[in-house]
Amino acid sequence: MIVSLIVSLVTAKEVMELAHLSRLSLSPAEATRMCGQFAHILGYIEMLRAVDVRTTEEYLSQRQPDSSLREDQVGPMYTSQCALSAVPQRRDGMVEVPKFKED
Amino acid sequence: MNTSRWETVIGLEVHCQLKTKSKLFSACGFVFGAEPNTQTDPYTWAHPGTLPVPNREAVRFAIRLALATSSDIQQRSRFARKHYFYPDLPKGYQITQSDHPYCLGGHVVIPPGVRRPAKTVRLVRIHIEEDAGKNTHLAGKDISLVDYNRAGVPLLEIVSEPDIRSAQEASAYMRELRAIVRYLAISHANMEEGTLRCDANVSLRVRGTQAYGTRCEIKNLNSFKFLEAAINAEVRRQTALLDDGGSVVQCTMSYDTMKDCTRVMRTKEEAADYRYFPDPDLPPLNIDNAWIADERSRLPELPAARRKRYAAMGLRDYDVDVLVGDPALATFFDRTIALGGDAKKVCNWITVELLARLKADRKRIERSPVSPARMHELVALVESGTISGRVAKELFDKIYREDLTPSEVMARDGYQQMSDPNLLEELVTKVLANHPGQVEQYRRGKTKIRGFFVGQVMKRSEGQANPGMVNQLLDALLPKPEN
Amino acid sequence: METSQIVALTARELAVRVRDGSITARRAADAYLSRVDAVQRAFGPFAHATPDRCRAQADAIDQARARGETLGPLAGVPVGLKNIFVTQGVPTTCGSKILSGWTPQYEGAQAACLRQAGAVLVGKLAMDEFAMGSSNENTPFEPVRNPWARDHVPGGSSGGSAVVVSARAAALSLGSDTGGSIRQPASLCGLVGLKPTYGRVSRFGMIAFASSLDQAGPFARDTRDAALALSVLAGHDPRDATSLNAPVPDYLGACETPIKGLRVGYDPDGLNHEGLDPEVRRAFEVSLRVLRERGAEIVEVALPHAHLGVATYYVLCAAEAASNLARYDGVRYGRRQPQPSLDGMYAATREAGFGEEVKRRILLGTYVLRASSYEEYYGRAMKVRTLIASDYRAAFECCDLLVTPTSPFPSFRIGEKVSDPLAMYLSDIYTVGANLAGLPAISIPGGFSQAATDRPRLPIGFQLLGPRLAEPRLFAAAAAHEADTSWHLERPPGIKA
Ligand SMILES: [Mg+2]
Ligand SMILES: [Zn+2]
Repeated sequence: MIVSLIVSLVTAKEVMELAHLSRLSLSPAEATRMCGQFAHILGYIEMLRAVDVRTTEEYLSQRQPDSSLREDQVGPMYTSQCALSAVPQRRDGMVEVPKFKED
Repeated sequence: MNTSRWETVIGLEVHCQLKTKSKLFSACGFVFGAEPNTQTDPYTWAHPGTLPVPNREAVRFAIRLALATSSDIQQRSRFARKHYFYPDLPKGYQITQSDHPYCLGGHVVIPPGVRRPAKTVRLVRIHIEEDAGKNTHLAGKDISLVDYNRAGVPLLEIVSEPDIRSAQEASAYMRELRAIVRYLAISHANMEEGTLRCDANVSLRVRGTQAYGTRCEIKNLNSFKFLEAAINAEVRRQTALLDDGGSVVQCTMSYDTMKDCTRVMRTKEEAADYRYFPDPDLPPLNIDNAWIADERSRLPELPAARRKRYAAMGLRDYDVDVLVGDPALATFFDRTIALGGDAKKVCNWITVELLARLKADRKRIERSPVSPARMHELVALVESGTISGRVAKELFDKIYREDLTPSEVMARDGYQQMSDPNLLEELVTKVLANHPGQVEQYRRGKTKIRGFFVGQVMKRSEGQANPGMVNQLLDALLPKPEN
Repeated sequence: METSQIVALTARELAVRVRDGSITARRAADAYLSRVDAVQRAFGPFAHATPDRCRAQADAIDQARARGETLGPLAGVPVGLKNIFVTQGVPTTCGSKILSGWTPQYEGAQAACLRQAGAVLVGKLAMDEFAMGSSNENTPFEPVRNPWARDHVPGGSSGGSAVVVSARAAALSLGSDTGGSIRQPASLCGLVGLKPTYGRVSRFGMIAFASSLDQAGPFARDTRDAALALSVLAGHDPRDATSLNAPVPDYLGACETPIKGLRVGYDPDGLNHEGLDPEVRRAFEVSLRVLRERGAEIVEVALPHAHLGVATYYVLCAAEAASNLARYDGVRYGRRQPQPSLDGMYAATREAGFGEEVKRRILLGTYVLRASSYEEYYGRAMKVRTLIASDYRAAFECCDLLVTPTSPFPSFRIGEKVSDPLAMYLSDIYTVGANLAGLPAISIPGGFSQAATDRPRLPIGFQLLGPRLAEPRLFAAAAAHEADTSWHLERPPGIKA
């Protein structure tokens, strides 16, 4: 197993950024723990950097020749009652969420 | 604006909703204006375990637009996931195309307008993607509501090069794009309904230089009026900044329609990292040459070609614009002139009389009670001199209201043509005798007055005199004008 | 017939008897259902038992038979489904708190296939949360126990699916395999577990973990039951764009094909792994001998990039998982943690709803997909994946099948590896290759470790891999191996049937 010495270090601050990007709220203790595990896992993943992939294409599953396209037909749909029954918070036939700023 | 040392540089990102029966990736129907959350299925809600399967018709529509804009269709393209958390985005990512869109390049030619020559706007690319749901923010309450009906409806995103130089040019480009997609019958392309939407990238540079300035993107411009107003507002903002020796900071703007100004929504630093990657649920999209050739052979005449054809018929620019602006109207016109007749006269009847009536009745041309055949018959009756213009208008009114041909109305309502040469001669002689002054004017060369005599004859005959014969009689009975 | 006799039958024997009327579907269902409580108390494999539905489905089959209708190939066979499979009207949590309270309003392809074949549903089965794990310990619920040793893990992530078949609480079960999640628990519980060719079984209705790697497949007591199950599950599904449109061959018939002359390859380098348990290695050599004595030709092959499999796998599965799990935001279904702000609600919901391993992979996946690290991580892993897949293609020029141990070690004690995620990831060294290359692979019983003071006697698995769509060849070799061994006939201690 070839492990390069240039191990990417991910700081606690970066972990918190990743947590925000993925909408996870980590406690500082969790972030620190994740940091350590990240170093460990990324250290292991470093072995990929030793591989020469300059002439290699990204993987693509082999597939049947015909495009997997669907004809433009309407199939079974939900009634709004059925669809909304799963929604944790609803109002006026719509899904309720805390107010947010549109952007 | 031309006096400013700054040149405006604009690129547009246009989203056009496709009018397929089902959504882009699921067999879920979509009807505009339906009750909230009634146009959904498990995929629309991103229920666990659901998967996307692309709609062939959406791809076909995409191919049509690529052909119409001479964009280079890629035999193999990919769908990618674009990630961001937002309540109207059910999966937490949008399926779109990023590195490998289905077509690259192409252009849209904007027709000439008032004090604006024709212009070619190059396209960067067009790609296929799914639409998001709709958020409603309740005033005075701390909640927002989401309707997923629109989520998953197919969109084409058309990205232009920064070739546009003014707000007017931007809206002309949008109008031409709208005409094209309507001709292709792939979209309703209605800005008010949101089936055609636009973001504008605006920057300034010193006139005469090449390098682009820092751009700002104005989001969600949902009418032609606001598109122009927002660009002008942004140009004012950036001009003021630069004139003051400041610099433009790259950011995303929104346009405040009340205050007629643009404001910053987020800066580049806050820009999201969308974490694009090829969607593993979707194999590459293959569009082979046979499919492209087949679609090419089914392409309708496009606005530019039609515009050229109408201009060659001698129609006025204004009329050309009116006809070309509505493919259904142009088709109506084409069907009418296919039966014969003078293009300019036919055009006049359609764009003046028919359109006015339809507009008053809030009817679209597709639902016109007067068919091209009846329109043709009416114009032909006038042209042959069988009826006068005044009678024709009466007849038009009747065939518009009733399901009858012009000749059926004439037979029923006793529109007798006064074609008896003796009677007509008597009438013309009387008119000339009663207006010696005008006859004298005519003799002296004021030949325009001839219409006056025709009018008088028509008046006396209550519109029933055969106009052709009246003209012949006037030729014979009027004195020869001096040159 | 006694309950113990009924549950001792293979799925295909039971289906034959239900069809010929010698056992009613209801009697078969009751026999299995009578074991559910005890098995649940002892090993905890059920997330949600469905006795009422099971009896109703069984009654419907008996009625159909009474009307003279032709019954399906799995008529009256009690099956369990990993809780990753969407079942209309039956709660489906994918082992996560974040989906608690979600009852699907649509039916997944896998549940529908089994039902149409006449199978009856015993229950939804416990799993590692979102199928991330190799021990069934990544769960907000009780860990599942191995019927061969209660203080040991059953493997994962389809642990519950392995346990119900092993402990005779179902005749067959369905699991999902993203990096070994069917084969590894099958190996740790002494069962046959099959991961079909990518695209062979529809993914519609299987909750996504890593879409380019996920594949559903059966757990069975022997090869022919697995073949029967695959014949019901395989086929094109237009609702899954990655589903293969290839004919479904006669898998049961394939089990009868002799393997004389079959070239069976193995990579000697793969056996030099430091983590490979000596007993697993010994068992592997025994299995090789079994195949050789059946007439197979054993050849050495090289898989030069195989050692990169786990690293490649973890980059890719984390990336896809981070993406696939973005939909669990508390807005449309499942659990919501109310908060005054939208972002607060998202974060609180996902923080409370996801377990530690899931969060770890989401963070890792987000990391490798960020614009700044995409090329170095995700892009690079996708290229290495190409190299790994071409290794297999080259190897299959020289052999018809490849064999490896399934797991480098037999089952381990609950809690033994939880503190070291990387050590746990290494459970998958022999299994991830098939997922990365989209190949079919089967794990079959391949012996037992010897009882020692620090470890009880535990099952060991033997893995066979084939080229795409070579499931018939896998079944032929597995059946040949089975014919000359009796490991698959052994029952966990205390399981009488
Ligand atoms: Mg855009
Ligand atoms: Zn877009």
